[in-house]
Amino acid sequence: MIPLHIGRAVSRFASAKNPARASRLGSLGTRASELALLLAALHGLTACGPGFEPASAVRTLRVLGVEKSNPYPKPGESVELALLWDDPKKRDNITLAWSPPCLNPGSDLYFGCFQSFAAPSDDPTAFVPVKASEDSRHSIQVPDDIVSTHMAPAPGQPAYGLVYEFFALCAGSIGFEIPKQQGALPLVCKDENGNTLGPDDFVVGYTSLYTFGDGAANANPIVTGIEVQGTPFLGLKADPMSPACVGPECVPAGPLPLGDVDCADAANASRCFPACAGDGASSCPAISVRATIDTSSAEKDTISATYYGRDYWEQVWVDYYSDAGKFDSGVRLVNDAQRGWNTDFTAKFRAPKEPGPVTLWAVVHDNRGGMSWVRTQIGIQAK
Amino acid sequence: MRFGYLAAKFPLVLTLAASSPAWAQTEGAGSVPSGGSGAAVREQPGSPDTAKKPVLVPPKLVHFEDALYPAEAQAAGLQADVVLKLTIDKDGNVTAASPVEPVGHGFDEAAQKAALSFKFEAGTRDGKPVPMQILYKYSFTLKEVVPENAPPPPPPDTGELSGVVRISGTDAPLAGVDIEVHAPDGSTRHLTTDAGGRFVLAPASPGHYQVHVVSEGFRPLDLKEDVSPGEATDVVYRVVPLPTGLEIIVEGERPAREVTRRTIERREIERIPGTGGDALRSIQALPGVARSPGLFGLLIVRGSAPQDTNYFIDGAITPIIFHFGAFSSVVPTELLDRIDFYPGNFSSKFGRVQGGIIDVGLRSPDTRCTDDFAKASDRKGCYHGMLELDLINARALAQGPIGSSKDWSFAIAGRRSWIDAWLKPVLKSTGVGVSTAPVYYDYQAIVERKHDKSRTSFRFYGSDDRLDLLLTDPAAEDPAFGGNLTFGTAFYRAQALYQNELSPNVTMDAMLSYGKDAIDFSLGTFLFTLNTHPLAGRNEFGFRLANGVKFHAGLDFLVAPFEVVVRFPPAPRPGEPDPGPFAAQPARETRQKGTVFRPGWYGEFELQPSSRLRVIPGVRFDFARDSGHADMSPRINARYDLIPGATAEEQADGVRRRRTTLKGGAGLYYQPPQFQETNPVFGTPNLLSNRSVHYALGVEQELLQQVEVSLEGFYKDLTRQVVGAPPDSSALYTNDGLGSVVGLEVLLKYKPDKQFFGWVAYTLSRSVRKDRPDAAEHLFDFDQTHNLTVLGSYRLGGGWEFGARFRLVSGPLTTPVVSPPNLPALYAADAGSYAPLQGKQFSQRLPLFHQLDIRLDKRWQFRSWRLSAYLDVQNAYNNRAVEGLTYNYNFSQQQYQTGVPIIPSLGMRGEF
Repeated sequence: MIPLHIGRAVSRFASAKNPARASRLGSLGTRASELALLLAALHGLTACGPGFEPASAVRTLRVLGVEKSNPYPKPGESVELALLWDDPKKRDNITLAWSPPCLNPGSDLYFGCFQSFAAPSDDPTAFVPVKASEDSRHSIQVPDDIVSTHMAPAPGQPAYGLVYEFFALCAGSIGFEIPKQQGALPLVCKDENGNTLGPDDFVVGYTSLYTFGDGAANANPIVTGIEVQGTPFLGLKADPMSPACVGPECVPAGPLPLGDVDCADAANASRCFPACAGDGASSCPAISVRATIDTSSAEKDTISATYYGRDYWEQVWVDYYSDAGKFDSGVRLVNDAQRGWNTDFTAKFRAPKEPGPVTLWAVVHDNRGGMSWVRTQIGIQAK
Repeated sequence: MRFGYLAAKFPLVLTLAASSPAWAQTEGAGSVPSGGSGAAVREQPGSPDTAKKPVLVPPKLVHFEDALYPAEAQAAGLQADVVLKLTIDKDGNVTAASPVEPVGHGFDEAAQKAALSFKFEAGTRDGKPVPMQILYKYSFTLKEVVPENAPPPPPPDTGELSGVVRISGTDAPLAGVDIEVHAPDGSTRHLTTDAGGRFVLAPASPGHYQVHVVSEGFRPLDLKEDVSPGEATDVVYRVVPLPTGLEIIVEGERPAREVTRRTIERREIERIPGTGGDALRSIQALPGVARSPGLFGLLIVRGSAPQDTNYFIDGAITPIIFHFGAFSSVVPTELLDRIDFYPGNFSSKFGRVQGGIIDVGLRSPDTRCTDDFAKASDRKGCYHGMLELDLINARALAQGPIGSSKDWSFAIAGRRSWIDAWLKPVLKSTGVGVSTAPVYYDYQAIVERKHDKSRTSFRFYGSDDRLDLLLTDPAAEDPAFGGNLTFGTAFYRAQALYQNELSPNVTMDAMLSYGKDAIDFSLGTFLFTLNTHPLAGRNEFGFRLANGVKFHAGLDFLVAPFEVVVRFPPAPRPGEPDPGPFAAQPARETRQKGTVFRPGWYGEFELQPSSRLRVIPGVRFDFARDSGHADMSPRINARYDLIPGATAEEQADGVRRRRTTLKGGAGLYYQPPQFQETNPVFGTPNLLSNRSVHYALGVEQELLQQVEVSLEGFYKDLTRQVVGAPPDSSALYTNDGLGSVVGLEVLLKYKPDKQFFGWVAYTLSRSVRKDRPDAAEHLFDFDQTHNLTVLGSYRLGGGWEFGARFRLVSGPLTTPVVSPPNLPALYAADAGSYAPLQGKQFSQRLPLFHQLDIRLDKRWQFRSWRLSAYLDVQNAYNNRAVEGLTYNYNFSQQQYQTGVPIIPSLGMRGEF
């Protein structure tokens, strides 16, 4: 029965094998209706466990994004990648390694690249660690034949090629070990005593570069600053492509270089907020934080228009982060593919109980691999 | 006031009329559990027995014998009701009388002694006298002594209103009936019939009186009487027992064509705690059906995936059977005539599915009249209605005859949820923009004609679920789950049924339906819309070729023009690791128009070489134009009465033989691939159908009159299962999947009687899969090793009933993420979230599930209608059952995700 099977086609899609999604869906979603209802009913109610730090709380070594000079490069084009990362412990031994590009893996799945990790000695350039604080950028060359060597497109679909780029950020030294567990990576991060470090000190990730045969392009979102409690802090746009921008201290030229905010200085009054005994609890006074994003960031999805005759726009969202205090909801919708611009993407920030500087990030993504970011610093003063 | 002397005349009360088939035993029941209270004596449409549907006439009391009031009880001022089971032979003599539940104090013996002297006009079957068993209630009540200083005789200007209340059909007097009399002066008097069913109002002022006769278990009467001065108005009222034998039958398999049969009566369905009185949700309390997690109404039958079980309404496939949230099914219980539930080894009548079948039958409209006196021109008492309200939805039903026709009838019903009323503010409080809060409704209309041996029924029914939200806080785990969320699913069907006995040896059962299915789902950049107009038909002929040889031949088809638009990234395939967040994966989109054509032909013999053996071999051919493949499915089922049950005559002679039946079956079942699996964009064209071989072997044993146990072992061998191809393959799917399911089902059931029903259902099973022949075997997603359900419901009296259900089930399976010191997840930079690194599929069993549901019902009977209220509490002791694992943002920490908390539900229902 076609309707039944089509309905269940949605369900199978919805029955995410991803535990993350599964947990959000109650691990149970197997029907579109259930997916829809649960997304609605459980939204915000079970999104994260009560005992977990939210993703927006930067408390350990973190990667917050990878900005590309061109999210949709053309064949043969060189693409600059810049890693946005932070280490709250301010260690100076953070190492970063980039993998050789993984070209057109089977079924476009990132885990199709894992086999290339197994023989690093064959390629001396593979995963060569560098000191992350000295250079968090990487350049890759998209092959000329990236589209033609990809599996032929399904009927009615655009031709494209795909490059995966993996990276590893480690508070120690990066090495290779054949894993004993099924599904584990062969990469390890060890401290100076040879102890294996876990996810608080070691992050492995990937980014993808799609190249379309028809030359479809995509620009990164345009983010120009942050408003905190209604006060705009302009000129904070980071330019990670600038040679001057390196490591977590990457700060482009601007009026407000990062540094400890002196709340005793009356000039900083608009940047200073009282501490909260609740330490980021929702009962603390809300401090509104809003990225300043240009509406032109939401581009028309040309692939959709060209191939499917559908006027869709990019889905754009902003991830807010802080290294102290907490956001009520760290992910806010900026533009919906169908309904358009969402004017209210302000996040509510709750101050920590300890006085001191707090760094805030706004990382803006589009659903086609585009990303831009901005950050600022505010001061928390004792009540 | 004191009680001076006994009322030696005691009434005889037929608590459940013999005309109610549920209480009549018939001869020649064979292996079909047709006897005893609660057993189903019900002909199946389309079954070969339809042509010989018996006409049962209950015994009629022609001689009544008084009993002596036990002296001890009289001295103690005790009264009692004794329910007797009477066995009446073909000559109308009472050959046995035994109390169903002894009350002591000498009442039982006195009632037995008197009842053995009764004389009946024998009950008949098709006009032929047959032995029968019926229930009588013998009431012993004490009469009030008339004081010596009683008031003087009434003045001659008053009259008297008196009478007797009898049971329609048997004319047995009825005691304890409430009589409400509204006098001409506006006053109201309440009377109660005595042991002889009599009541007296004296003196009575002359004028017009309104009399309301109300007794639990009988249809109320509403009458007008005149009293004249100096005259006594003496009346006889006959009350009609309420239909209590009406039931919905949930069958494992039909007795004639499959292996076993299980029934759940309407009373059970309405009272099973935790189901809200929803018939289809009650299926989940049967053995072989795994627990559906949380608020989901999934039906996981014998270790098969939910999509391996198909739903039909009178043979027409429907896209959904539950509204979202599984709060209720799309067809109200009041309109159900039967639920055929086939967990496996089903007849060749059904195809294209390798798990189970649920075939729901809509009932004929209820046109029974409320009393004996309804005039043909009036018929007011022949219309019925119902209105029910609870915290989830409201529904209404009206039904009755059409005009003065005896053949034509109608039913119309509808339901609407009001979840939106309370969920909308909840959603808004979490920052969700709500355009349309979740809401659903369904509707049904039936027009039917029953004439002679034919039945023609026209139906129109449908369902609609929808919501429209804006999720401004996308999921941190995958921001693809954010933005615009719309969901709508709707279907309707116009359907015609025709059943007829063409000749004594040929029956015909035909169905044709046409309708629309529409699904509209959109989430952010993802999209799925479907519109189809399915035309489905089914026609079966039954031929009686010789004594003990029947043959059924039929065809069914589905023609469904469709238009579908799908816009998604490639879906994760079975057996694949997590593909990472969808947020930055380009969507693929396909728009297809086409027509599905799936015809099927089947033939099935029904061989009965002896009264104890029944063998049903059959074969089915299916073709699916969308996959381009044809499948042939031979099947065979058999039942053998190792020890036949006692016939009615034997029971009347005191024979107490308990039936033992062996049963078994084997068959081949095919299920075409799902849409996305053969779609050129999302799948691999030309995949073969999934294949499954079902084996079953079991035994049924009657233990007591009310207690029966059945054990059934089953094994399913799964081959050619559609699974994801390896990443380096040019195909996306293959038919390389293998698997098996083995299990044992046990059902120990106390069949419903006046006070109680309940059962213990236990299933032991193991369901495994292999993604490729050389791959490691893993447990199936929904594998549940142990599944125990214990439930029961007891009538406390006074309209109160209390029930409870306890479930103990193996915990759900989950796929664990890699544990330290290895990294549990990769950072997917384009989405800003993490992709877990997973270990062996479904290798972690979460803690045991246990839950207690309770239900309390109260019913009030009024003059012309009934009001009932219920409190249904799911998860009464608020066990936070573990339904899954939830992780922090990078999967380095995990904790249990718990299911639904305690959910009380309060509902009220009025009906007439």
